[in-house]
Amino acid sequence: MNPNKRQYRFTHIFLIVVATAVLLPALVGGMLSDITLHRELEQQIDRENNLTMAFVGEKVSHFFHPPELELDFLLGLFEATDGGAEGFARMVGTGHRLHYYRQVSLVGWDSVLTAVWPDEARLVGTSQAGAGYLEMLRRNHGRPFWSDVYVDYFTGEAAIDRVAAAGDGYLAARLLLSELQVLVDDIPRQEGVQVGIVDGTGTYLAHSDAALVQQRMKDPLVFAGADSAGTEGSPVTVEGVRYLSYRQPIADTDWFMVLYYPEDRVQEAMRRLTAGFTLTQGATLLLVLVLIVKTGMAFQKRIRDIQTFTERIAAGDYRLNEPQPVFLEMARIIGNFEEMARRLQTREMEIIAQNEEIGALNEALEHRVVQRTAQLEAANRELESFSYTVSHDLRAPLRHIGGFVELLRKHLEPTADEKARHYMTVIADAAVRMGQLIDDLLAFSRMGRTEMMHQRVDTPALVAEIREVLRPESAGRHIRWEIGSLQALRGDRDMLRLVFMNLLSNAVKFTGRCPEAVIRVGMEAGAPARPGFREFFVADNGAGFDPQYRDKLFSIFQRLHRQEEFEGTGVGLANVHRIISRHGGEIWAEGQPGQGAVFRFTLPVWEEVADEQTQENPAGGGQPE
Amino acid sequence: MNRLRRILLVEDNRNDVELTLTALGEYHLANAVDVVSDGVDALDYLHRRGSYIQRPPGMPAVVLLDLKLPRLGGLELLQIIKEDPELQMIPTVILSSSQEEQDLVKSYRLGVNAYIVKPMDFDSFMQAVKTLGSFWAILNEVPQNY
Repeated sequence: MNPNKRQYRFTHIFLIVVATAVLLPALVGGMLSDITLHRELEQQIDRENNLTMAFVGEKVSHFFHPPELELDFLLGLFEATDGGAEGFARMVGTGHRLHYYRQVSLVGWDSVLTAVWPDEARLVGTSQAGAGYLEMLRRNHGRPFWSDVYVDYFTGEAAIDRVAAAGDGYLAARLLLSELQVLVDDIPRQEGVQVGIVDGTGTYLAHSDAALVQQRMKDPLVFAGADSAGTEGSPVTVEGVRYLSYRQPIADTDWFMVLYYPEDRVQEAMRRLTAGFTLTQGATLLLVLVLIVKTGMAFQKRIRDIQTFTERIAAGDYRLNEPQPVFLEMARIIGNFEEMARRLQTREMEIIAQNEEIGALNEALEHRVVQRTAQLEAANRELESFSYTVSHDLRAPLRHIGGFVELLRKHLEPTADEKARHYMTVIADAAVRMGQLIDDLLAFSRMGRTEMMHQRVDTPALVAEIREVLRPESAGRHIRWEIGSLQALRGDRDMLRLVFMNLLSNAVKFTGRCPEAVIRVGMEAGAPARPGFREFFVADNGAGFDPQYRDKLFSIFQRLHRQEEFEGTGVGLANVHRIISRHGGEIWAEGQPGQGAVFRFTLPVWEEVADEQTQENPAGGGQPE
Repeated sequence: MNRLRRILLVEDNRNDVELTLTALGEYHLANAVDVVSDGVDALDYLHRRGSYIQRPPGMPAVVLLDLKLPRLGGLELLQIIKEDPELQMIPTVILSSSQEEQDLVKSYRLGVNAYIVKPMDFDSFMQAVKTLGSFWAILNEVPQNY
């Protein structure tokens, strides 16, 4: 596991991912939907309002049509007469009942009222010039038209006149606008929506709020409608209330219709919509979140279960009683783990069985080692007691032979002849030689058993010391010593001394017959064949040996020369061989009869760095082998 | 020293006894030697009991002890002597053919006063025994009252 790499809890990552992947799109989508819905709502309001306006427009158009037809009918009647007041009277006096108009007047060219229906005698003869209808007729090329709105002097109601040329004057038929108000009141409209019909001067002819009839419409509404006759509402503020206002002209007139709609109602609807939407969205998100968290927690619990389970397996508890988790994948993972655990358990059982087997084998082996060791120790004890017997019991009779021969010699001294003396000398020498053989044999046997110490042995010093020891033997002889550079050895000092002692004394001994003896001691240069070892040699120019027998050189009591030629028991080189072998080295010899011998041998050398460290440990100068 | 004290030689080998006595005879010490052939007899001698009940009182100037003895061996006898308050001051010398290290170690552990390896060479042997006899019987001083 890389400690530099941060590790995260699954739950945290899971929540972050869920938030990013689910909540964010949901929120953005929600907001977009909200905006869309708002727009749609606005459009719907626009549509509804436009529909209302169209409806009202239709109604208003229809409102004027029947009265126009009625006047046309009246005109027809009038023109069938010879005109004048009489014709008028006939026209209105046919018993025809007028459905729409309240008053019909006949006015002459001089603007004087000729006749009026219902008859108002006091009005006949009055001037009607103030209305300016004649002028308007002329401008209208004689076609009938609707007058502006005015207030009836007598009734106080708003009215308009339908004016048409008749005879030598014109007809003016009064239509009360209260009829229009009825029409507006009948319009189905939503709450808060105000509808008004306005004439060209900006006065309400009808309004859903009846109090506003005959009032001038408020300026902002005028302006708001001035250049927009479209389908979209324009925002206006009237007396502190914000409205959406619509305006639509009414065909064939200079009138128009206004509809305004309090904006806060729109906004309230929007708010309700948003609130509802947000609530739904929130609830959904909450539900999703709860589901996610619950699923996540369930998932995490399963993961923890798996964790616990695997930890148990890691701890070596292979019980397979894990309850089946709800998730299929988890079930598979658990299944796999169970399979792994089963296999692990099987393996472990196998290993335990194998270990037990190995243990049993080891025990048997140990037992055998103990047995063998005991046997070996017994053999060693026997050997020791043998050596002891040899050293003690075998030497005693020899000493006695020597002793009594000596006593015999002293006893016979005055009378003994030459032969007797010779015999006694031979007996004495034989005893001494046998004593030597026994000593050497004991030493050889001891050499194989003694514990070895590993210490640094200064080779040049050792050689010098041995040369000093050998000085008496070489006294009177001419020996040239050539000592090369010698590395310090690593081994048992006493044993190594014996090696060099034997080899050097041999060299001295076998050069005994040379006029000029040369003895060389040295170390081969160059890389050692084995690490930690070097090859040494001791060479002489002495008697040499027949290479045919060189294998016998190192066997005990084997001699290649007769006793008369050179002294020796044949134990020395056997000892040398044994010591070098015990140090892990080898020895071999090269030579020819009369041409000297070279003894080559390998021994472990003291590596200054590596071995000095070992030297410092509590074992001190060396450790027993 | 008003009288010559005796030497006790504990040796079972007749040849060795003869050679030893011959060597001591050269210093005229042979007559002062009592010879016993094993450890049990040696203890009887020292304690003046058994067959030695009649011997004159007084401890020997030195006990010369061979290692290999019948019945009670040399090392066992040495141990008994050196552990016995009555006997432990008697100079006791091992005279043996063995020069095994273990014998030397054991002997000195037990408190031997000297350890002589019988030389193989007769002259050396004679010289050694003579030196031994004269040193322990004549030159060496021991406490008077014990």
